[in-house]
Amino acid sequence: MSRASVLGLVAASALGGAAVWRALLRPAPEPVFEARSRPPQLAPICPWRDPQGDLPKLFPGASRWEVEARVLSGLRPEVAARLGRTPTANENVARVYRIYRGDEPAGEVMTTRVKGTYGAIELVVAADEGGRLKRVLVQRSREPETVTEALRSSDWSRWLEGKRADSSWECGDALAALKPEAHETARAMVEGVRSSLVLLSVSERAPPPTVAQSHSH
Amino acid sequence: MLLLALRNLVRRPLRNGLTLGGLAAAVAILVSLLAFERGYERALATELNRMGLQLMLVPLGCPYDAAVRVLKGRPIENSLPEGALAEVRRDPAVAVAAPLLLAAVPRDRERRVEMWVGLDRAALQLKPWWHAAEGRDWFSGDDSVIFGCDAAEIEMRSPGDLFFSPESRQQFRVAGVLERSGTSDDSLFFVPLRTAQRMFGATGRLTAVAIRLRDPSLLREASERLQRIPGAQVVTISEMMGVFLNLVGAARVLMQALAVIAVAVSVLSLFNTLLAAVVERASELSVLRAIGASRIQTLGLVCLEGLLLSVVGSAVGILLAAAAGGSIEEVARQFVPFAPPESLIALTGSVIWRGLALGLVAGLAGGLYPAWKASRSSPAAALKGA
Repeated sequence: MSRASVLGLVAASALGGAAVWRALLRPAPEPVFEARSRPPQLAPICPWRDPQGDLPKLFPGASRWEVEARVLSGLRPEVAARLGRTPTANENVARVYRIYRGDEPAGEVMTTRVKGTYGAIELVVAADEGGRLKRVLVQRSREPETVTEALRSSDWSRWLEGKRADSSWECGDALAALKPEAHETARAMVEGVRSSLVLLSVSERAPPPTVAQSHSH
Repeated sequence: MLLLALRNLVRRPLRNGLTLGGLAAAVAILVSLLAFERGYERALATELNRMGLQLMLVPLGCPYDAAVRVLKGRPIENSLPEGALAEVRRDPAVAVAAPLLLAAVPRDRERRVEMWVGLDRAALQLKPWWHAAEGRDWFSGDDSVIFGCDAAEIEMRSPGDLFFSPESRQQFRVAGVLERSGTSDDSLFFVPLRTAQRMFGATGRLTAVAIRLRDPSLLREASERLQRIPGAQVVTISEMMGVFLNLVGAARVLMQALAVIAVAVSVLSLFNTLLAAVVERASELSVLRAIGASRIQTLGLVCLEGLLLSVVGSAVGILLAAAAGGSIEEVARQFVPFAPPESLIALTGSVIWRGLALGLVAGLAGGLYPAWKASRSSPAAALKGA
């Protein structure tokens, strides 16, 4: 077979390929496969919107944090018992921000979204290494100013500080000090903080977590 | 012969694997592009037809940008006088004219923008997907709000709940939550048109008027008449579709050129691999010839090796394109001018066949010269070696 005939064959195969290509260029029938990128059905996970700004308020001197995903599916009965309700789908995984001062762990942060009177409220819940509440920040709220101010009051903050997952969460007296229009939102906040502390507490016994990201402050 | 060809390929797994990978990548790129081209055109047509509107009246400015923003539920700088709506409704060719007012409330700390839409009942005729999953599917008063399903999830609202807009200091009662539609409506807050105008200081102003005609054949004359409304311009849906496809088409040509280069490189890689194999096995091929293999059989053996590589490479490439389809779609959505909620990647039978055909042509083109070289092996060389 000569070189010319080989070149001829190459050209013929290219032309044949082009002809097949062209023949297949007709209106498409039903797709064999379609990519799907539908939005999720679950409410999105509550993010920590401003860790750089919040960290000095929660853990002065903190140098870095790691994001851990602690899977709680295997501990679901315990989570349900301690929450006193069926856990939501998002509560199958605790997304915990582990805070460090140098190499020493300083505490943990969780974020949660609770149902306020006028819209969702996003809370940043900080606990020390012993699981005691250090502070709660409201990172997003639609409540009117009167409600927001009531929830920022020092009496209310003091009532929350130092609580643990298994503390008494009866808030009748503390609520009495707040304006009546803030009561519903305050109760939702209490439940959100308690749930976060319960998840933090239970997640200590979860399987070894996946460190999703590490950040420096 | 097939067994012999397979054994020869397995003898150099790294070299042949790399060649196969290159071809698979090239086929995957091309198949993804073709699937996107088909999918985008189809999804665009479906989305625009589903709305059942033929025209959109928008403020002066870039009409296509304005129309895209309205369809995607984003605000635009300019606005129309509300008087334009009355003029549109007076036109004999107009069946439905739905006024819309869109407003964006930026929430910098949350790094998001909240979108509010004011509408009147006419809009329902252009939104066939508008059904309440919970509560009512229309407002119960001026202070009521209807949520898209994602907006309701994020705000944790249900019918009967209160809702507050801190910017306008307005309190609402939730009338209903819409079913998931897969459109941008899922993340919007809907309020009555008058309420939206009051909230955002746009009394007597509109963002756009969506129009359905009594008869689509009246499109040209209706557009000419509506074009005369002061401060407004008309965009037809078919014009919009053409513009979107042209915008995407320009980028597509560039991408196809890159894909062709990738295929050309993979053909050269295949050529190189097979030629190296033939040179390495020169004495073996001579022995084959000496024990009776014809030139055609030797040529066929190497051609078969090329075809095997190319068929497997193409199949892997098509699987890669199918696996990466979701990610490609996510990325593409950020860059196309109007991304319908329908799937943008449609891997049809024709696209798959074209991917396989390309692989076969690449296999033949890359394999013929090495095969010819193999067929020139001389039996005498084997005897000399012996």
